[in-house]
Amino acid sequence: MAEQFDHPAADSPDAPRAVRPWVVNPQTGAVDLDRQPLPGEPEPDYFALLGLPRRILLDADAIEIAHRSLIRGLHPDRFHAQGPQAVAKAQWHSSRVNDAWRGLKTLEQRAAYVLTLAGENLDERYRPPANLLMQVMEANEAIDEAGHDPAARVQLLDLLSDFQAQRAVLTATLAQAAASWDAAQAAADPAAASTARADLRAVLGQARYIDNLIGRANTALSAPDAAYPAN
Amino acid sequence: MAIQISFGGEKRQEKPVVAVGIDLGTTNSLVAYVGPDGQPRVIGGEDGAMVPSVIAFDANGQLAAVGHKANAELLTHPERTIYSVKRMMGRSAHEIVHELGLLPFQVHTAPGSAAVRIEVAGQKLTPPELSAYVLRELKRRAEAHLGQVVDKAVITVPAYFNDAQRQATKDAGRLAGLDVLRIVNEPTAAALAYGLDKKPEGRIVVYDLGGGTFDVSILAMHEGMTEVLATGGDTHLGGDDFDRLLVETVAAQLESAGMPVNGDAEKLQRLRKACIELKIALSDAEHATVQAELVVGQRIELAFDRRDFEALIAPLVERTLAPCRQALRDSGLTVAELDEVLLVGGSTRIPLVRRKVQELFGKAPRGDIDPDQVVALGAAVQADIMTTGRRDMLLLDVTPLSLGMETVGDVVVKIINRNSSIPASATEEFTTSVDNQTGVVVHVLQGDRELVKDCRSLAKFVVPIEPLPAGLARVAVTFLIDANGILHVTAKDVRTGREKSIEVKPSYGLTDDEVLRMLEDAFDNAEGDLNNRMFLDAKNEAELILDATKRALLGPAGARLEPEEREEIDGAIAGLAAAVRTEQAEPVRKAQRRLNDATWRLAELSMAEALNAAVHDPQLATVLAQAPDPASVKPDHHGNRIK
Amino acid sequence: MAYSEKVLDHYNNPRNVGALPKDDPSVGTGVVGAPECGDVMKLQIKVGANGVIEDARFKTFGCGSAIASSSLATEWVKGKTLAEAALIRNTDIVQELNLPPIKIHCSVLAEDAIRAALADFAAKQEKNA
Repeated sequence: MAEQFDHPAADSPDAPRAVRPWVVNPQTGAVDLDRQPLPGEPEPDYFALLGLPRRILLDADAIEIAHRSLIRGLHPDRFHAQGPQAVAKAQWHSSRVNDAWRGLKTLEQRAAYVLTLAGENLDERYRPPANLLMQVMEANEAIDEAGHDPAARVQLLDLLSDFQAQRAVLTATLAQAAASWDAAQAAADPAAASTARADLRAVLGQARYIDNLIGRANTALSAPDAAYPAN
Repeated sequence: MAIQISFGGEKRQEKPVVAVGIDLGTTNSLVAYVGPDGQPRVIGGEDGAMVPSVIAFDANGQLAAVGHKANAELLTHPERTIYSVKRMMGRSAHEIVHELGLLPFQVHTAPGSAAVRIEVAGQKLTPPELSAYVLRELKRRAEAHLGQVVDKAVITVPAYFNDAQRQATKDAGRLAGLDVLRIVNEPTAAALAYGLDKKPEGRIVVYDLGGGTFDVSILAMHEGMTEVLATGGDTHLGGDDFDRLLVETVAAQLESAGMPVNGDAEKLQRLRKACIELKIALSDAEHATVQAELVVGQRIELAFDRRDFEALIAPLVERTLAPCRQALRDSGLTVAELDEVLLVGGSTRIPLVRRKVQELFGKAPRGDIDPDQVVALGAAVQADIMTTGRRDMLLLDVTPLSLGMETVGDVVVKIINRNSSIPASATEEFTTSVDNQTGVVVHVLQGDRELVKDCRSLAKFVVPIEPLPAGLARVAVTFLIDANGILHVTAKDVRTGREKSIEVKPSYGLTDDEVLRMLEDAFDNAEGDLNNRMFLDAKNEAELILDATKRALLGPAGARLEPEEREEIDGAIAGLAAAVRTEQAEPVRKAQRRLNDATWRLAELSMAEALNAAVHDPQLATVLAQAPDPASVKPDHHGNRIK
Repeated sequence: MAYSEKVLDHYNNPRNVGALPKDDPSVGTGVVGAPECGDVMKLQIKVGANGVIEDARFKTFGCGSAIASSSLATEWVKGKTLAEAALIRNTDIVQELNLPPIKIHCSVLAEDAIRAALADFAAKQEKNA
């Protein structure tokens, strides 16, 4: 069994070297399936499970690499020779690593997760701008009415690219707000954090509508019996 | 230092344990293994590598045949020959009877058991027990081919199989005396076999149209890691459905020509066989004719155009495309980002299927894989990865269906989404709504629909809770989908941190206790297995000794034997060879002891030769200066091994 | 536990699906959304000279419970005065349809939609007065 090793403080600043994955010793790569939290050490959150700094803006490749290297060592297939108990523990630890990876994949997910960790209740009502709802409603109706009419489908493509453009703007805004949030955390600046939090909420409150709509439009356009407009 | 010297001067080696890979198909099954060279290969019999997944019983309900022989019985005794068992795995009686409408067999349910039983030749057997017959045949083949006991296997299932179907497959493996290392998804196995020599770095799509099921998986391969991004499918769609359509069409034609076949099980089976030949011929020709003998001695000719066949099956082929589009969307990739298209399953030989797949993915499918064998080969690779540790490869699969719980109003709350990498887990906390409530009922479901009635019930259980004022007690229940795609449930009291045991009753299929009971009931079989294992061990050893003895006889030591010594050895060799043919352990052991005794002096002479040669090798001289005097060394009772 | 017959009925045969002319001064239109799931709901009322809601229509892009909630809401507002319609609460909808906890937000959406439609109608009246 690997020796016990220190776990970083959950709120440590973002120096990546200080961050360690949960049951894998980052120096030796040794896996300790029985590792328990040290006294006073919090249960690991998604970032700690993957050994990543708690930031919204993270390099997608870095997340992939962290997940891959951990799952390579922790996957239950690796423990078959050590018997069913080791396999069961590996199932649990690798499931947590997979959950963390899945939960931090997108910018939106990381923003929502970080806000939740910061005590924000994302289920509370947030009212998006009224014109957004009207636009989404009308677009939904247009998708329903398009059917197989080729001209309507061409319009649908226009509509789709409009919403994709809107989504791109939201993503850019989100990235900005995320950068401000990360910076505010690093600098321990509550005023800046509060502004960033409001911005993040606003973007998250709108993104879902547009994502749903883009999904519906794509589904309608790729319907099997559809006459595809030339593009 | 322990040294080993044998007659031939080389080290005697135990054969390493081999774990096999099994493709347990609806129509055909295959077994494969990875040889010492690291290459996977399928194990063939005298009648080819494919074993029809058909089981025939005799009139007394005893097993008569499995595989090709059973397939032949299908024509003569359709009432006691069973096929397409895979379609019954993990299904309810209602589904088997109404949805599949396959079999002329009675389907029974027993009180207190969620497992369906099929009545065949007076026996009532569960689908896992029936599948175990096929697995046992594959195990036997592998043991005969490898000359050693095979008791570890990786078994493949359609990617779209649900928890109950996977569990039923695992149970079948256990009942066949196999330690099921892993249940692997068929398309994933295919990708693994493909990746072995092609070493692709990129995204591939596997389109797998088997006998009874359809799967599509999108995978990313990267530095030995095979990661499934998304999967989709239809467990009610396969080549059998093409056969059925063709049979129906031809039967209608025969009917109007005054040759009715409906209602006659034997005629229908003969027609089915002819139609399958016709289907296969139409993959290569625009027009095909086959001879059919619906009534013995009466041959008729069936003719069909490929165009008509394609028109017949086009709607079914079209049905496979929707899961492909969904999987592509779920993977977050576009068609342009795919690097390869692999076709798996015999039905992908149909030109229309290849055309449609190429149209959809905008790429010609790979032509260099055998669609029938690649799944078994991949399963063998996974077995090799898990038992030898000689490959740095890892398979990261996904769960095909979302996992959820029933809540008020028959609505399903999702707790693990489909296409989540497995192992995956979710923890839900439960509390009580009235004082002194002692439990909460949890109903676990699988599926992506909103209502309970549209999802698949997996299990129901009661979470035990301390009798306390309402809302005070809290129990955390963890749902874990393991690497096989099978659900495990554990519970913990949040206040005390104590684990709580939960008895999870599956909605369909066997409980653990039932499997254990069946294994005990099959004690006779187990005894047979034990005898077989002992024989194989003895045979192994005998072959090694025979080989070594024959080589020693050809060497200088052999030339120095007295004629009567030589005669005694030759007699013992013949005796051992004859004993091996009895397929019994005891005679082999006895004959082996006789050979050991006869070769005592041969061993001594050989050793002297070996050491003599060695002391003349200057490099070894120093080492051997510490070796015992050959004359003082006597072989132990194995005759050829010295410590 | 049987699935609430009423939900099933409103889910399978939603009433009053469609649209009323948005620019008609006697029509009030409310559009609301639930950001957590991205569902959107449009509810319209047509008000008679006597201040009684003569007709109602809805269109909902979302889950079955959201459709059932809005279908029920249009049934209920018909024949009611504006003041009576304003008294409809999401809890009434939850009870009537036996909605599970995770679907309560759908009933909230329906209540919001009624209020939004009433407010839109009131705004039009004020403008035309």
